[in-house]
Amino acid sequence: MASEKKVVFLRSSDGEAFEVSEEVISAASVTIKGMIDEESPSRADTAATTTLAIPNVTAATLSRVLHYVNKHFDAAAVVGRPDDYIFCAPGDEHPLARFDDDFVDVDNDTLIDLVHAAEYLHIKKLFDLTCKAVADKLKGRTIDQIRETFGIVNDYTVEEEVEVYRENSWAF
Amino acid sequence: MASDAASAAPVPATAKPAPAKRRGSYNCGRCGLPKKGHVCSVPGPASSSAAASTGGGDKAGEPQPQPPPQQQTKPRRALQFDDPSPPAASAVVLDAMPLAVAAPPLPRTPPRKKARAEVVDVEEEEEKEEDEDDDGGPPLPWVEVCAGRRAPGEVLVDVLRRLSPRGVAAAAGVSRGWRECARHLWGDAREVRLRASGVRPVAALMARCPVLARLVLAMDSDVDATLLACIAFSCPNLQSLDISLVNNAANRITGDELSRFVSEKRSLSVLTLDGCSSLGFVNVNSSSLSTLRLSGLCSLTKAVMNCPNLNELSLIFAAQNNDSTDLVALMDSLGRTCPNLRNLHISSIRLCNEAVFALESANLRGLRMLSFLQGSKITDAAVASIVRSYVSLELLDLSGSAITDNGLGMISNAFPNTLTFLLLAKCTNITSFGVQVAAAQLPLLRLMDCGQSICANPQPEAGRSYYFGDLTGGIKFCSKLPVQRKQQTTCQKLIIKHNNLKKLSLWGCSAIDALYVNCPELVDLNLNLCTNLHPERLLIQCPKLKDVHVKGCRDMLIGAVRNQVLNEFAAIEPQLPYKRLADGSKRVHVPHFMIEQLEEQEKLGRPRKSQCTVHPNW
Repeated sequence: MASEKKVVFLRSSDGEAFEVSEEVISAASVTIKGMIDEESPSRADTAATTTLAIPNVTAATLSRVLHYVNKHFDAAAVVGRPDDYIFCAPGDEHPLARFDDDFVDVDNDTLIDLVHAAEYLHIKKLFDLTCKAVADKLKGRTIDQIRETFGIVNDYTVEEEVEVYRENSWAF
Repeated sequence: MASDAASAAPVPATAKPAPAKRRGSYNCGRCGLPKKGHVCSVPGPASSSAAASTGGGDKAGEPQPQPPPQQQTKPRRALQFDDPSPPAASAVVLDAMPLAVAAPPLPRTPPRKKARAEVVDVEEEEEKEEDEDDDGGPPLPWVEVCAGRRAPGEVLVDVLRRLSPRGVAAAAGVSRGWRECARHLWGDAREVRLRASGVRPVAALMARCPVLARLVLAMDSDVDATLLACIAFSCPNLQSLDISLVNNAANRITGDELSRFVSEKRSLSVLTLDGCSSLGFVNVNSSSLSTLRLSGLCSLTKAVMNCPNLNELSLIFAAQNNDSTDLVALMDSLGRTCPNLRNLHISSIRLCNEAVFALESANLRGLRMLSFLQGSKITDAAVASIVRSYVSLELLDLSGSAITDNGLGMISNAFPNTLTFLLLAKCTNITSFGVQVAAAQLPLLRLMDCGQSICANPQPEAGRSYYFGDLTGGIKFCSKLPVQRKQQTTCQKLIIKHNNLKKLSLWGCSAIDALYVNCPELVDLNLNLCTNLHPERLLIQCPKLKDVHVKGCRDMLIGAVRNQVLNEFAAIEPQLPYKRLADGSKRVHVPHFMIEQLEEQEKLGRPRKSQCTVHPNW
């Protein structure tokens, strides 16, 4: 089926539907590709489009994810040969590097949502990118700084605290 | 650095069906209880028997690239073309290594001399990567990762995985959930890279990583037998150990201690040790060892390697004149004790023809990669022996030897169907003629390194006359660098047309004045310090070129290179080979068939954009 513009609809947990090219999203997300493949026998090549429910992802996150996916996986949008940027000469910026940087330059909540969504949708590139971004936020921080950055409550008892410290004292 | 991506590569998040399990079960190897959150009360070393559990895991794991020895490349996996360090004095070695092309699979602590901090991402060094996800372990609980928000523990583990060991240790202190994730990570860690001073951090970390298989240490402080003992004790399944030294730390491990360590660690298959100057002798007996790399060796009284499965051996001797190692005896015994050697890499200024002959009698038919570095006493006689003894060399590195064009001819005749890497840096007796012949007769060649071989003046005389300008076609230009006086021998032409060559290094080939390179696959061309190369006698036709290194070249040459590689064939017209130059010098000679080909290509009107970078600065 050489469908030129096949689209699927993704419905987020809060009910908003997003349209995306089937080809692009299949290339990006293993999870959705699996869903589409499951669906396809039933819909054959009827004109009906598929709507897939993505229960774990909110509309705000999903729209971000799709933005990323369209940038990275839509061959038409990638300038020149689709794999050009993989072989960029050193010194050249990865054409999408700036986009990626901006993409993960968001607050912690959003970022964690993205990690989560990437994991659920199984978009490896996005997962790597976002995990790396979170890791960068942790890098070189002390325990207290991490707690502060991420707003995490210290749930250790005093004894545990001592124990943890002893356990990891080699690193400090 | 790039390695982050690399290290992340094997992490196919969760959903993927676990590939054949390479790790043991999820239960504690000592007491059998589920490993999660478990602190084993059974003390360590009942464990050498547990060694089997990780069995063949490392076979697939490729040997990581070795640290560049002083100046050249070393044996590498066959046909791997990732990190061909250009030859050369250390000043040039690193700069010429483009990140994207050279990104080594694993970031090493930068070689001491010219640390490229910017590339090596100096966070405290070391990430730990791991090959697999939880295959069936108990799921982690959801963890609070952000003010009041929770996420599955696995997600946090994936994040922590991208931190250095110290980062993970810090994260473990954040909260219970985080600590659980950190524990999980340690419990799963198969590879750890750590920069440490002293044994303590190593011991503390090792105690937590029961399935650790690969350990890469960059030691800030002196290394001695304590460290080996600690590793032997705490890593029952260790398969690969790499200890390098930073900041002038010394390695005090003696031959005895090394022997004991190797024979006790029955699981060990890869051992890399830096700075082995205190060894005194080498006597290793192991049936598991497949790769042994020792560098900084000095004056070995005895070298016995009784390792029937040894696949790769690299011995790098310190370049000291007082080294008294008897390489002839070493080679002689080597053949008898290591019949399965495939890669042999020896760097020593004491290498000589006799040593090569001694190896001939060993009859190592399986040898694929052979490097004899710095053997200035190696001549064509040794080449004849190599040609007789080995049938299918893929890599041959005779950098620093005294072979001539004749030797090169023998090599070309002997290995036309296998040789892929040919390294001849600092072989000052070869000429461009020999190189041309080699390129023409070795169709599989992917890397050729002739750094500093076609030199105008191998021994620059002190009273060299400086030469500041030239008149070419009425354009006067001043060279920035002293250029050697033109002599007959400095005007060598080099024509290389090759279908497979990916990397060509002519670093420091100051005797070349005309160069024609037509290599459709060429990616990296190193012309650093080609001071006599004439800009008008340069023709580069390499559509895939990504990097051209022109450091230390004259501005005119840099301009010419830029024109040719960036504008593609826009620059060709005036460069056509039969043009007679204004200064009346000989024209560049290019065979007919190439011109035809060229025209053909032009007709096709190739649509393409150049991706090439010219690197003019140090």
